[in-house]
Amino acid sequence: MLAERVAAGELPPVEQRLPKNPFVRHARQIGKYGGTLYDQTGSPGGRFHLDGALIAGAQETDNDGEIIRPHLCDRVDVNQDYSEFTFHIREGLKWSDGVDLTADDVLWWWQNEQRNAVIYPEGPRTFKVGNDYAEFSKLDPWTFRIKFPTSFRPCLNMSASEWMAFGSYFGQPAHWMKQFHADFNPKADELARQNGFGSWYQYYTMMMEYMHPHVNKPHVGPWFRAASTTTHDIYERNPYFAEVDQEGNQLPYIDRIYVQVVEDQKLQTARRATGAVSEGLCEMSQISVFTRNAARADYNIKHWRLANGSECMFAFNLNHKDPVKRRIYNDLKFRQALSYAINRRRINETLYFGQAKEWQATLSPKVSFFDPSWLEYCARYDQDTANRLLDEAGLPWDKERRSRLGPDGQRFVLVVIYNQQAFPVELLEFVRQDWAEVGVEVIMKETDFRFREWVCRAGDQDCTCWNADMVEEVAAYLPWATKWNPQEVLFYARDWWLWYYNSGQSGIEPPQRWKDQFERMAAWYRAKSVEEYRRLGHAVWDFFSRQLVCIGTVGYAPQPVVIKNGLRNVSDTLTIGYGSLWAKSYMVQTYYWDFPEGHG
Amino acid sequence: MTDTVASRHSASQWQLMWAKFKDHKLALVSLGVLGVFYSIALLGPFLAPCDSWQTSRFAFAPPARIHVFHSGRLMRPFVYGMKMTSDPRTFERSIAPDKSTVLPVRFFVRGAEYEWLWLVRGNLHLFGVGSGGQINLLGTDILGRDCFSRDIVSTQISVTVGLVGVFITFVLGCLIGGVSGYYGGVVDNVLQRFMEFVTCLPTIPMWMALGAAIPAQWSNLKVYFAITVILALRSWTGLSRQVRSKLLQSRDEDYIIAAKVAGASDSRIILTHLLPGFASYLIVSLTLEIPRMILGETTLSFFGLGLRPPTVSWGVLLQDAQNLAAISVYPWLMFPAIMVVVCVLAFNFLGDGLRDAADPYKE
Amino acid sequence: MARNGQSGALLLRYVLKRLLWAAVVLVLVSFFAFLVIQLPPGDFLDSYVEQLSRSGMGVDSATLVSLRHAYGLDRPMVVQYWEWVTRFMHGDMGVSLLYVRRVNDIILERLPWTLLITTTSMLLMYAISIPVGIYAARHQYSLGDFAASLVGFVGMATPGFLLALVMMWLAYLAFGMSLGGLQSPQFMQQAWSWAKLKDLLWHLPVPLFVVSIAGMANLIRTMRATLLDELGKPYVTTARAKGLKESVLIRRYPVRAALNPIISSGGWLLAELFSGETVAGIVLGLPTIGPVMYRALLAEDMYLAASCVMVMSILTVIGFLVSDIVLAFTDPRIRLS
Repeated sequence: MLAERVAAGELPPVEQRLPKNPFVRHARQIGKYGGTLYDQTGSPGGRFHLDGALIAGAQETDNDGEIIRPHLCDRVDVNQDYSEFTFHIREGLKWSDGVDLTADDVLWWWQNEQRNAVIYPEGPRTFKVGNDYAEFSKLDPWTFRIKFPTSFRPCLNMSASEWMAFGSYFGQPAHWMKQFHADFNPKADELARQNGFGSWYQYYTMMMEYMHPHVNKPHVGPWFRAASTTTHDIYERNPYFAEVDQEGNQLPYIDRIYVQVVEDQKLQTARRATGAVSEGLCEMSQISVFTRNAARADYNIKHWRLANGSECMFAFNLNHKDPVKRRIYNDLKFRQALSYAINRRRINETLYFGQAKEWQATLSPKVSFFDPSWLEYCARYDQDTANRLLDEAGLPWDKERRSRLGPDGQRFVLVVIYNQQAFPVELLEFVRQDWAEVGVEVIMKETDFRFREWVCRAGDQDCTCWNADMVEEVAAYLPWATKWNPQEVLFYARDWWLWYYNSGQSGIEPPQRWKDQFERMAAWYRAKSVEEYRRLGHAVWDFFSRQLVCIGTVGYAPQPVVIKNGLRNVSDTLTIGYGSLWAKSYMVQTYYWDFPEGHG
Repeated sequence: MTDTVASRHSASQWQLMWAKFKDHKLALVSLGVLGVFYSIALLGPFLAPCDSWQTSRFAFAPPARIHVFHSGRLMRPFVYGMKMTSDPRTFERSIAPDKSTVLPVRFFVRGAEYEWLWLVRGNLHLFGVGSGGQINLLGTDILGRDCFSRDIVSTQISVTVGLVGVFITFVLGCLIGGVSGYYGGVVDNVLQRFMEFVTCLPTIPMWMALGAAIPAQWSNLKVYFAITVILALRSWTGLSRQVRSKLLQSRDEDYIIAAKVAGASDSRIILTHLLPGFASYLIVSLTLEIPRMILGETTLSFFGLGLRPPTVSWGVLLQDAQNLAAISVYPWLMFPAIMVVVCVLAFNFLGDGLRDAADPYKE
Repeated sequence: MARNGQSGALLLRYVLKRLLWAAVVLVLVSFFAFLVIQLPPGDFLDSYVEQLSRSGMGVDSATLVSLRHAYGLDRPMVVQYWEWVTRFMHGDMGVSLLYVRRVNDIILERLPWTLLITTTSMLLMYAISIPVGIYAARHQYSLGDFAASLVGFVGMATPGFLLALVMMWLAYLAFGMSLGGLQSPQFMQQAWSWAKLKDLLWHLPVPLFVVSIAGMANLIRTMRATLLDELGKPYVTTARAKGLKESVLIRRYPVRAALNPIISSGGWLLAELFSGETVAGIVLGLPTIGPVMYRALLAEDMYLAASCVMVMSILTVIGFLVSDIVLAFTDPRIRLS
């Protein structure tokens, strides 16, 4: 695809486009250039199956999310106490428009975006320990250093995650972003208004874009977004992408990714089952359609696995405004009882063909400080124990033994608010029945994610649920990013967290053991040695497990995938999850078509 | 002789209507069909062999076949038990009859407990196979729930939603249309404009907003009524318009003027003199509005605004069937669609028949 | 001559009155639409923030407050409404935070498809219903009458979303047609050509069928019923007695009279068509305004949602206007009322 442009002189030859020391990505088979991958999304610029492949950061992890390796930075030096991190960007690394990606971009981003009081009035979101920010400095054009006030081991984990993906969350193409920044372009306000925004920083914020590069914004991933309409997005190969295969051919093999906008979830499933996409995940509840359609739709099914610790875990609002509910939800016996009441075997067999693990929600067993007792904690199906614990928690049965009564003598009803997720909705129905059998009446309310977010931020939810991802070694250490963080995603103790985070200025003072836990977590992130990291990590997660703040169902579920026939270099077996950054572990840049012309 | 002549000549409006109605064969059949639906709605869980929310291992079981011959012998009707094999490698589940388990179908069995009409608790079912197994006349869904039972129980909700909804429509329509048509003038103008405005409002955003505003904690009963109100809000304008135009036509009739002169109050005039005059038209409109409500309920479920577990309606079941698995692999899940179509058609034909019967000029 | 001029003036007055009223309705609808969109609690930022927090990059409440302020989402609703409405009058529909584009661009991309589907459906409905209705009236209780009614009725009674899915699946089984959208992905990237047009024409029947079938049954029924009414009237018997040919007779007066209720219900038809088209658009993944409006409502993307609602309402009101004016044209009595 690029050959004509090189011949026409528009593009320098490939040796000049690659950095001096390109990253060698081992491809199972050397591929052929050309062709298009087809995918689908819910809205333009929204998430799609292959989107993890778009980002590239300083470092990366292996497929299991356990080892950190260099990626776009060929070397990272760390000092003795893990407070200084020196990143060596591959010399000659360029953005997709040919401009060098240097330490200047990183510095510009830090000084003019993150520390810009208009864009971030409260200061940058990350790269801070306690209330102190890290310092960024440039050592030479290709080297920058981040210096933290104390030890901060998680910086390495951050460098291998999307948090340090160049061009989205970390570092911006300064030469391109300057046009939107009022300090560098006096006409920035006008530009923003021309595009419908009220002021320059609104437009600037939109240009920052999480994961999906803006149209024609310089990018470092294998593809950049070339066109976008309300019905489709087109990503084209990045001529300056810094990876080559083991024979020196520049990656990616595939020229283009065509992402069709399909607003309706059910239509997305139907399209996947009829071969409209090149690769897609199968819903377990519809698996028979996929298997039966394989021949007609010209795809084959591979058996991958999900790396989620739990496909769905529930967290009760420990900071509920109603004191009666708050007392009940804070009672460990209540949470334990509900965990004992779940019949995980039934969920596993009916929805996952018995292939999932009926473990409690916790980290991956492969984590270095893991404790096997966390897997079995209250994960047994035991209605008698559940009933006994609920009695002890102060929720007696009513006269006809149909449901339990709250302390106010009324039927005890609670609402689980959730939004449409990757796990099958039927799972919730099983849990609802399980809890109804021990007398706890539950309403499962589905909303869109915006509404759930709103309700939970206001602290008005009884209970919400999400999957337990980021359970691998590298991902679990990302600062405050775990799903067990009380103030995000599961929102189970927001007010306590706010108190701690704002040093008592807002929120509600937590009980001592939770203050200790927050301190412990902060200390964990500041661990100086491997031994300290493991010891504190174990203590942090032991507390979370024993407190059972998240009640899990089943995890490590099978995930069949449809792959269009003729698409090569797709793994036969793979465990996918957040920790390996989803599609990044698929190695999409090494995919190729047997007959690229046929898939144009 | 004089009596019979007198009785023939003084047949009431309703008797005349009934006579004409009987001629409309399709409407008669529809009346019968609707009778069946409402009987199902009345009897509800009694007719269902299983509890509509009871899950089981047998996911997506095909409809059970009733046999009378087992090993060559003639027996009372029975179904075989089921055995399920699932292959985790291909994710194929196959459910085959287990010929070693014979489950005779018995009548008037004791089974799962239910609340009849939310008042009486009972556990008598019309038919069933006892506790040894399950009988799935229309197969099961992904959670192994009996589709036949769910179809029966959902009928209760779906056919009554329309009734409650049209009642609200009736009240609103008569009130506003009545005031508008009777008083005329400025009041009429303003109300008419208001009705036009309401008609111009796009339905779906309105429904989504109203549906999203229903608090999560509301019991299903409250949600049910909220849904009927939401549906009625779309329909009342049509009825209002009719009421208004009929009132405008007849308010200048002699007998009305006479009543006014006699000093009858406005409400008395409207209620006792005007309304009965076109009650038949109202009934026709309302009858034709019910199927729209039934379809409206399914649309609300499509947008996720419908009822939640443990309530089940046709809308809820159709959402379970709104996927390729139900259409191509497990078609028994689409049975509620047939029920919707039949019920909607029956109401439409009934309405047609009533309209023909009510029209004095029709031959 | 004078009479024509007088009735012409009456017509003009009527049209002006209706136009004025249409404008008032639209203003009311705009306020109501805006209100209704804000009814569910929360705002767009909650979804934007949710995206961020899912990756573990939490947004603390202070940042949220400042973001809300930056996007002007913390201002009172009336102020936001006023700003939107004044921009709308100038032809600027605001910006969509969800699509990160100007709403004008989004709507301009989707409007042609919406108009295509809607007008083609309406034409199809009239083109099929009227002759079928006439046939059914003339050959009452015949097999053709029954068959036509049956198809129409089943189409009307089946919920649109299920019908759409089933038809789409059947089309896939029969013709291998890609699911969703009006074009195969391969053609969407290319410029217009005969092949692309053919692809579009292949994809059109299912959406058109789904959208138009519901109204068709009613139209057929109405046509049939009113025509039967007319045919029963004395003047028809007279004309027949005088020897007028049946086909000429039918065409001249009864059909014209029977068309009246059909035309006058044009506005309602359009309104129903739009809501049916939204459902079909979502299920079939059509590039029309409906699915975008749905997405925007869910995400509470204020300007996009309100603008979509306004555009649909404008089209509906235009539909009402047109049907009123056509009716006034054909039926002089209306102008006098």
